[in-house]
This record gives sequence, C-alpha cells and structure tokens, in this order.
Amino acid sequence: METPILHFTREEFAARQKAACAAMAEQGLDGLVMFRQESMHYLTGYDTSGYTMFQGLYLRADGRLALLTRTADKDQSRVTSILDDIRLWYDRDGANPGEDLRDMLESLGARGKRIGIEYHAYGLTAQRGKMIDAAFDGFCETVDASDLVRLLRLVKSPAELIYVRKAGELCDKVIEVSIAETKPGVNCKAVYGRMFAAMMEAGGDPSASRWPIGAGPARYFGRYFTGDNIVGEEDNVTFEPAGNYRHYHAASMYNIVLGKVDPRLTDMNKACADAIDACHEVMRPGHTVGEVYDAHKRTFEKAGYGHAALTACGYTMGAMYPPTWMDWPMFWTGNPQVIAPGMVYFLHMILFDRGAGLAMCIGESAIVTEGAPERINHVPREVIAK
Amino acid sequence: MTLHFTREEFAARKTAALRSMAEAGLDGLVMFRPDSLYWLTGYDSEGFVMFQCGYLGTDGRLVLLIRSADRVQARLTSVVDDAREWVDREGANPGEDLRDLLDGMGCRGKRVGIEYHAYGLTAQRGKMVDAALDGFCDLADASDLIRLLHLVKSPAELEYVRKAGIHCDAARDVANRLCVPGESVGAVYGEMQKAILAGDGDPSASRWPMGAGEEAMFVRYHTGMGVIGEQDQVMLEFAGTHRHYHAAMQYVVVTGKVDPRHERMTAACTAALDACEGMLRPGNAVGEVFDIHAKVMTEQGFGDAYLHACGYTQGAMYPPTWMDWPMIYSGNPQILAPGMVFFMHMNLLDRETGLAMSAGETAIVTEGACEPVNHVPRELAAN
Repeated sequence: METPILHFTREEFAARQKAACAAMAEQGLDGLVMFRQESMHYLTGYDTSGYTMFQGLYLRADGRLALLTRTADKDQSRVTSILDDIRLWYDRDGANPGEDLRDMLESLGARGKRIGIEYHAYGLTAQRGKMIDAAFDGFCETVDASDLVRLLRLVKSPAELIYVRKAGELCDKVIEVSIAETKPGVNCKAVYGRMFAAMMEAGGDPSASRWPIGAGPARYFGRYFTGDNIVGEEDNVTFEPAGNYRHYHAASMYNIVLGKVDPRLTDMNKACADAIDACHEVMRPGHTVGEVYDAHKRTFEKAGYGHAALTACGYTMGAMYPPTWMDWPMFWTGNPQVIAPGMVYFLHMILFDRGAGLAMCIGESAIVTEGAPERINHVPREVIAK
Repeated sequence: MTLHFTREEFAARKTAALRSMAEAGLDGLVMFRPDSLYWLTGYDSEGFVMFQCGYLGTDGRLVLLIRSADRVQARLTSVVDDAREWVDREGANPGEDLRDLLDGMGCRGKRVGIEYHAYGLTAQRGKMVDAALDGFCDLADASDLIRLLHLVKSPAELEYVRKAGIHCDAARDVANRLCVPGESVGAVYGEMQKAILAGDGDPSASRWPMGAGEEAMFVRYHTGMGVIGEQDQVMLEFAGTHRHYHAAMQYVVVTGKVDPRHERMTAACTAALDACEGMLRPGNAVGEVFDIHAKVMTEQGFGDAYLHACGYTQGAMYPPTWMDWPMIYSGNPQILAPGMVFFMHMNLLDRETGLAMSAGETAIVTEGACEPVNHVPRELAAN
C-alpha cells in the first residue's frame, strides 16, 4: 500500500499548500493547526471520518506538514494523502492527546510562536478545545484561524469543478428516481433508499447530511428525521437531496405534489422560479452574497410572499464531511462576501405557508462564472405533479 | 406526530436526569448533544450543526433554543412546548440568547452544567458560550450526565435495538449476495442501505467503512471505493438503524480461491467474539471484555495483530458518528449492567500479508448470557 490513492495531482496539492502559507504570512501566523476534515482533505487529500476522535494537522509557515491521529487511521492517512509525517496518539483511560499535539508542535519549533487554530470544527468539541488550550497555555500564542483554509476552498479549481459537475449529474439522477418512485402509500424512507442506491451505483458517495424528505406535516421539516412517513393520496412531499461525488456536493430542493394541484401552489411555484432566476442574475462576480439574498426577498415581495421569505436562502457547496454539507458563507442580508468565478452555491427558494397547509421550494446548485451561473443540477420550473 | 416513546417514558427519563443533576449539585443543565435531546424530549433534528441546545431546570422545565428552520420539527417531534428561536444575521451571538434564556429561568448566580463534549458545540462556539456566561453563573462540564443515563436502555428502546439488528441482518444478506467479482463496492453499499430504508430504517450516523483489496485495511469511510476483484477481500462495517438506534456489524467477504490464512484469521476472530460475548455479563468491567479478546487472539497466534480497542456501546446516535463511550479497551472500569448494548469488533489487519479479517456484532447485556441482536457469519464468507 505504498501508492497513495489521490483524487488530485500532487501539483495541485502543492499549490493549495502554497496558498495556505501565503494566507498565514498575511495574518502573521507561524503555523496553523487544522481540525476540520475539510481542510485536511483540501491540503493533503486525507480522507477519513477519524475526526470524530481527536486528530489534528499542522502546517508550518515553510510548508512542512505533520498529522497527529489515532492508530485506527494509520493506514488510511498514508494511503489517501500526500502526508509522510504521521504521528500517533494512543487511547487509554485519561489520555490527553492535547499534550501529544503540543509535543508534536514543539518538535517542529512552535514554542513561543504565533499559531492559528481551527476552533470551529465539529471534531474539536468545546471540551477538546479546552484540552488543547490547557496544553498550549504558556507554550505558544494561539489565535482563531477557523476561516483561513475555508476561504481558500471557496473558489474551486478546474479539477474540483469536474467533481462538482459530476455531483450535479448524480443529483439529477436522484431527482429523477424520486419523481418515479413517489406514489401514494409509499414510505418516504423507501423512496430515499432507491434514490440513494441509484447514486451509489453511479459512483457517488453518501452525502455529508442525511436528506430531509417529508410528506404530510413533515413537509415543513428542514432536517432529516426518523419514523415512517407515508405519502398520501393528496399530498405534497418536500425533498432536499444532494448528489455527492468525491465529497463534493450539489444540493437541490423541490416538492412533488400528489393529487389535485392547488392553484395557490402553482402561484408559489412561479414565485420560487422567478426568485431563483433573479438570484442567478445577481450571482455574478463583484456582487455580494447579501445582494443575492436581497434579490430573492425582493422577488418574493413582488409576488406577494414577502411575509413568507426565510432569513437565509442558501450557502456555498464544496467537499464536506458529516455532520453537514452546509458551509459558510450563508446567503442572508448584508453578508459582505464578494462573489468570484469558481465559487459554487446552493440557492433554495422556500415558501412555507403552514396556515394554508402549502409548501413550495426550488433549490439548485450552480457555479459562478464570468457571466451567467452554470447550473449543475436541474429542478423543474413547473410544479412536479403526479 | 412522531413521538417514538410514551410520554410516561419521557417523564421517567426526566426524573432520572433531575436525580443525576441533584447528585452533581447542578441547578440547571444545558444540552448540546442531539442524542441527549432525543432521549430526554424526543426532539429529532440535525439542527445541531448550527447552534442549538436544550435546557432542563431543577423544577423539570424544558426549553429548546433553536433556529426558525427547526420550529415545526421541534414541535412535532418532541414533548417540549417551550421552543425559543435565535435569528441568523451577520454578527449573531446565540450565546447571549442562551444567557437571556437562563436568566429567565432564574439561573443567575447558580451552578449550571454544560455538555461541552458535543460535535455541534465546536470549540469556537464553546468560547462564545463561556464568554456570554462569564460572571453570570458557575459552569460545570456535564457532558456525561445524560450519556450515563442512556447507557442502560429501557424495554422500549431495546425493541428498537432489536429492530436495528434485523435491518442489519437484512443488509448482511444483501452483501453476501452482491459481493462478487466485478461488482463495485459503492453499488453494494447502495443496495444494502436500500434494504434498510425499505424496512423503515434510517441511514446510520456514520458512513460505512467498506473496501476491497488494499482498502480492506481502512476502518473509515473513504471516497472512490473500487471494484471487487476475482481474488479479493471486501471489508464491510455497517449498521442497521431504527429510530436512530444502531446495531453495527463487521466482517469480510472473500472472492476466488480461499486463502488458508484467511480461514485461520476467521477462526481467531470468531473465537475472540464468542469469548467477548461470554464475558459480556453484569458485574464484569468493560476492560475485561477487551482483555479476553486479547487473550484469545494471542492464543490463536495473532498476539501482535489485534487493535487497542475492540468495540463500544451502541445507542441512538446522530452524525457524524454512531460511536459512543465507553469504548472497550484494557482497564476501562465501566461495570456492565443489564440493558446496556455493545458492538464488539474483532479485527485482524495484517500489514505484512495485506490480509484483513473481522468479526463484529452487537449484543444486549442481560441477567444471563448476552443477547446478540444481529448475526455475523461464524464461517468465512466466500463467494
């Protein structure tokens, strides 16, 4: 097992590391400790779920990399990444891997230096954060650098965009299966399984979030939930699946209506379609993420649904790990992030009118280009009726 | 709409939590773990990826602090009727919303337990909470309070655990049928998951480590799973999930001519699993289960190849992992009691030969012999 399984070229990883070192220099950091699996995957290829236990990757200002992980990830870290300096900590009662991490940094000359830490990482729970703060106390200066690699990842390379497009194709396939399989009397979980199997057969990955799919009152749920959920004769099922390829996601959102289509749903559908089109008009280089949100809000207001618009209407898409495919920036008003080519965004136009029992959504993912955004998955602009 | 336990059971759980809080000298408990909220209230959401928590006061009052996206889900999946919302905006500080909530509950100057060990409460969010509560109340790490309560499952929970075991066996049958040369490992994964979902199961909290050839050595999910070869080994670690309760299993399917070394490794793994199940009895310590695994592996001639841990408890868990404490390693003092559920995995990963073997299944601790809820093949699975 000496030849790593890499999904990008070594040159591309080297370029990403160089960009990270440049960002560190701008922020006056002598080193960066990463706890986000997304960052490790981006800089080295390392592909694992081992972040649920304690692990950390160190990048020194001169580009030197070292990983601290558990024995369980010894093989996987070597085979999936360009890393060659892999160190292990051992499970035992009272183990303190924060001290192992400090020792690793000490051996790499970090004592007394200014070190950036990814404090916003699901694997670094607050309890683990306190453990490393205690271990680093008096050893080095620490600053929160949670956004350093995230901001680099925001603009995708051509090689990454190939995976993003593939994720979009997988998503379109999954949408197709859901339309074919959603019928009165079927459990939404069974539909989920058929969608999932189609994606896996086509070479995809299970997405970082579980898919929210809900019929009946669960159509207003925004999250995965357990329990049987049977599609009714007259029903409206909300779907939010994503295609996932090599960890890159392309999310979508839509409704499948069973039985007679309420004309108010047709009107809501048109508002959603107009809103996503309006967002795509604004989602161009130089505009801000906040301005895209405002376009969504304005369109809903014009259509008479201003009261029903949510406070956020999407977020960026990329290579993400469980528990979520969501990543910053989110589309809300005033968000100053400037849009640039190569960014990828999921936009969801959602109208929930619980009083009237009506729900309608259109959500798609698209790549920012110099001109019109490139749609990578495709939700019908008309009501999907069965 | 979707309470999966009776209100009486939720009330009993709350009584138990209040007793633990009293023992720990806590005037309130702030929960960030979704499994704690699911156990205590039924609240079923992945909203924890954003800032979200639940509060339990000594008077038994329950309050959720969520985002508006979870409003309907919180009402329809839980017994909580007091759900408050914080609002997304640039510079939002939901730590202050939490402080205001606690202030309203009379927690100023009191001693409040916090679940600091929660994936949703990243270290950054933890610092936000600490800053907001600084000088407001005394804080204590109470990450284990609810965890220790849900270590022992109720009869109603055990029904779901058994159902998860049935889903797991169904997925095993699919794997046995489909792990043949030329099939892609990812496609097998999809069909196994489809079978679980068709039976009203859930996608599990972890993604499944599955791999053929060299990737059989991986113990974590990875992308780019390959195609099964004519002469191959396919490592499968998966779980049936029902109402979030998990029953994990692990084994290897081989293709082509059977390597006698694989046979010997299978014999060692199954002997170790049987020994562990024999040790999984009330009064024994978790560490003793590990020790018997090590002893049998050593007797079988694999003393240098076993891992440092051979399992952990199973329960209702949320992504990113179905793993929960206690883990089965040497010296772990946790005493076994009826109603606990453990996944025991016997792994042999031989880096010299490149051969991998495993036998893992999940069992309920009873007064007598443990009750396996899923059933891993005791013979080498060969296609």
